Amino acid sequence: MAVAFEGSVAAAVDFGGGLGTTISVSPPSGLAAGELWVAATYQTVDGGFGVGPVAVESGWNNIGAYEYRAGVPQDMVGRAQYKVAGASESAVALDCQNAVHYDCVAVSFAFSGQNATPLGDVVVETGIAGGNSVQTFSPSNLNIDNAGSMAVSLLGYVQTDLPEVLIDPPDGMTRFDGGATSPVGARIFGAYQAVNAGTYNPGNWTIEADITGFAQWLSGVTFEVQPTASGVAPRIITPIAPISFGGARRI
Amino acid sequence: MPREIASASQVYAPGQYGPFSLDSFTRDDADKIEVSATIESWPDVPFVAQITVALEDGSGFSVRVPGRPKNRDGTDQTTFRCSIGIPVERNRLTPGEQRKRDVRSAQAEVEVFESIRTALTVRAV
Repeated sequence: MAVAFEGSVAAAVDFGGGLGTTISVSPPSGLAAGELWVAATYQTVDGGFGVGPVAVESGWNNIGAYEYRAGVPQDMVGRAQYKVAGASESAVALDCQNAVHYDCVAVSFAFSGQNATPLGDVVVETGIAGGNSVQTFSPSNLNIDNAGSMAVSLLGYVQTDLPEVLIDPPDGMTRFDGGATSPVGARIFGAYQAVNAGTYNPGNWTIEADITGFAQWLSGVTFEVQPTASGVAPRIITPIAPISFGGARRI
Repeated sequence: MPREIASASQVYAPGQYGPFSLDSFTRDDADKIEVSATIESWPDVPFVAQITVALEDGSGFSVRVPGRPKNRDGTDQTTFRCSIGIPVERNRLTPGEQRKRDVRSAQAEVEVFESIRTALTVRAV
């Protein structure tokens, strides 16, 4: 059985200079027991002070986190996590660590047809860009084990001036929107594509604005959702060190 | 119920206030739920209050309000404002369409830690 996308819902909060504690995002409409429910949040950290990673909520499982980078002012933090949905799910309150002053966005989305070991390859990457009216962000390749898998790309970034005019997902992927605070603030977008076994190269996200100097902080989590199939072996998860700014780490 | 609840400036002693309930809005005439509080000689302490907002579908947030909240440029605020947008969804029944979720009510609660004078407003904008 191939993995299928089953809807999304987004939340966007402006904490207004207060210290955010939580952002709650509800399940996508019609979420059914047994479906794979993913929640991701992306938060700016104004002031440049360090904070710890966003928590994995009780009953949830980590996919990947974008963690604060020492020495990077106004950096972002965030995390993607998942659970297998129960019979009646309500909104999940995601951690903000009492540290987010302004912008906090979240998205929740679901898949059906996933394997009991739902995640295959996972890559987390961060970058810093700026100075151009068009920015691109290239998620790393995924090693796909089975036909009928779903490749998922999450892009988070900080918008520092006027709203963007174009957000294009990687070629062949279908975009779904996460939250966006406006006009200055955080953005999170997702995209998905059914894929077959082999190396999958997602191509680029393209973000375009009619000004320069925007989208200076970028993060991505790219992962494979494995389909229900016999003979799918659990993957061995081997963290490796981050490869500095703009690099990626395969989990 | 209204789409805006506005109270005149008054002193709020420590304690729980609300819920302040809104329901006279739709996704077609509102983009967000906003809570604002005028800052009237608040004490210079880390937190004077905590604001919690929940939309009908469970979306929401919780934020601690500093005694001296700052604007992005570092200047002092005269009115503290926080907000949550009406959620955007891609419904499985209409997979090609993304639109605001059909949310028609919201509640806000305020827990005050230090006595403050403020004019509190909760509204759909």
